[in-house]
Amino acid sequence: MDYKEYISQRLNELNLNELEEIMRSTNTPFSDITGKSLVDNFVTGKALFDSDYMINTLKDLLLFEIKSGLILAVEVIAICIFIGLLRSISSSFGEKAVSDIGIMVCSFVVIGLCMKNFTYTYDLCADTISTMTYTMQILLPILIPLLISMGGITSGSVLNPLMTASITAFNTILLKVMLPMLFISTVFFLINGMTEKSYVKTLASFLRSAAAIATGLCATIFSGLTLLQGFVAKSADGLLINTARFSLSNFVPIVGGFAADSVDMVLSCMAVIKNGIGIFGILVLCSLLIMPIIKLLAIGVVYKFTAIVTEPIGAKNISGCLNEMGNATITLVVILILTSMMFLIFISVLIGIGGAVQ
Amino acid sequence: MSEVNEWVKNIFMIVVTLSFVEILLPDGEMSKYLKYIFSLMILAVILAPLRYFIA
Repeated sequence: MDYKEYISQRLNELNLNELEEIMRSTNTPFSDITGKSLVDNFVTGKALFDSDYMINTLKDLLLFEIKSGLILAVEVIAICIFIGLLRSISSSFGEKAVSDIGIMVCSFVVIGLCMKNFTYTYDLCADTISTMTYTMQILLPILIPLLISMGGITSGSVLNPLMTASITAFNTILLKVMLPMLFISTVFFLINGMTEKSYVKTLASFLRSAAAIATGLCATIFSGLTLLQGFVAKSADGLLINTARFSLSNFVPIVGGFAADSVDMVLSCMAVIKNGIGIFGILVLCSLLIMPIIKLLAIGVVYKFTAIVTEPIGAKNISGCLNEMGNATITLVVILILTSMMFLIFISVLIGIGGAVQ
Repeated sequence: MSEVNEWVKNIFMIVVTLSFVEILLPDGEMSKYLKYIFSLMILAVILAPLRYFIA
């Protein structure tokens, strides 16, 4: 039997519907790639995707998101101009308290606008993390049996519980601890933005840096554990396969050599399928990630830009608060990237194990 | 989780209310003492969760 035929036969037996469903729902330049077409391109040696088209689409998306974020910027800048006006004509009201209350009400409006926008970005980030976790939970039961079918018995049985546990634990930690911490720190920064004195600024920066550092630490610990286990299990599997092949070719007379060669072919074909599905999984994760990251980055840029513009008008508090909002949005991006990096490390560990039969 | 929500809500309320009141205060001898007392109140609200650790 031809190896291409073998590969396509095995691929047809795999159930990739759910993964392809997620891929189609992402609406990115890669969303028309399916697992089968990827492996076919792989075997025949074609390019996986068209890079010019992809870069152009991504650039357009970024510009579009920045444009749609500019509405918020214009609203905030208009209110800040009004605050500057109030401050400069405050002497003509007679009492200073009148203009002070006016300024405070204006900062309330700005903070309301920012809070509404930040709730949206927060939900976007939380949704993306849940979808990525869900994708990993679909992908692992496909990849691990493929790994076991190509002889990675130890790796499969060691890595499966470890990866499932890490993914679920990381998801829970992020959604229940880190993201709420970031949200609370943003609320504190906003409170700080509307008072003259700073009451809770240090607390807010502490919460935010604690959330970012703890996320990094969790990602490092989980991926480090998986990597180490992967290396150990990989050598154990190599031992098993090599012993089986050697004893087959040497101890079975005459046909043993042919049998060992065909075992090699089957193992290599399974490796092609496993790596193809793994790369398809990486593409699904990337396309899940790319839209939220572009959106969040655009919103972060808009916040920073608004902070730069409002500073000379005289609304110093609001400018500082907008700057911190920009930092918070960028921290959300960092958390997303860390999460996806951990998942990518998991998939590449699975791809790396038994990629070539030694 | 609900305790944390309560804490954040309390800090928000106390800071907003006290800064409003601070603006409306008449300028007098007592205003700086009042401002000091206000900061003590904010401190008390920020430290409120400590009672879960001590008790």
